[in-house]
Amino acid sequence: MKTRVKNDKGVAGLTILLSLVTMLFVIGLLVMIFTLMGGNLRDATYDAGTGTVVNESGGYVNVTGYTLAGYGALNGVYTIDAVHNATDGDLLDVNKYALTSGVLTNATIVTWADVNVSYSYTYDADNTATDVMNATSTSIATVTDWFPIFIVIGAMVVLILLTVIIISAIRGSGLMGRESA
Amino acid sequence: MKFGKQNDRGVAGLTILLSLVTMLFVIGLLVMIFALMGGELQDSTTDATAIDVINDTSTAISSVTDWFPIFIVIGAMVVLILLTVIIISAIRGSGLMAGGSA
Repeated sequence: MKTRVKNDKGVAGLTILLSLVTMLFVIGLLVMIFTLMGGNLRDATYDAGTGTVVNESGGYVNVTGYTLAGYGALNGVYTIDAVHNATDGDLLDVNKYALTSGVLTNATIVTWADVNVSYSYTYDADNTATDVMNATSTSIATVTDWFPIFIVIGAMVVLILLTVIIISAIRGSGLMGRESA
Repeated sequence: MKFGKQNDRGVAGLTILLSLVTMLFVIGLLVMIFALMGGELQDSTTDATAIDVINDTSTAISSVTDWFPIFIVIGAMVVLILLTVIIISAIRGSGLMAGGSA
């Protein structure tokens, strides 16, 4: 392997550090653009998914709020179909409860300790294409994890070259006695 | 096979990493398009064998993204190794190390 000879003098490898910083910025910019593009491509490719849950038990209607077990689907929009009192099976009036961000709470002062909740929801469903773009964006984004170590090693190059310059200057000055090879 | 000579100085293989990142994104984009096309083809036919073939093809092609992280790691390793080579070359070029016989 042939190593190129560097002819610049007195710069102590700072051109390397300059190139390194510039390249890292360009790579970081590119990765950011790819991640943005990948995210938008992925979001535009999701399938429309639907879900229905009938008589989910263990619910309650009070000020604390019961979080629906099926809550958390990607970009999910939830709608309560019915809430039944688990004790006597009575259907609760729709004005007696409210659903906010998947949490069922009471809309009046009346509360129920045990209810069965039926609800439906729409969400963005994954498919092979979205998985691919997600994996691509995630993988490419990891390249920035390496940037700090590149900077550290680039700085090490500069420091070593500075040390070399100092030692060469001392040797060249004749302050140190020459050793026989 | 003939390798092109790299004349850039002081970039420590970062152009390789830049190309790698770009290529990975292009491959990912292409694979996503293939997966979308495969899905549409799959939906448009009722033949079970054809559906299996398209499904197998799409799944197999999609698995290419499993390799992306290791490509990134190896690309980063190349940069680190080239940076180390720069350090070693600098030390050797300074004459501070006695040259060994080959």
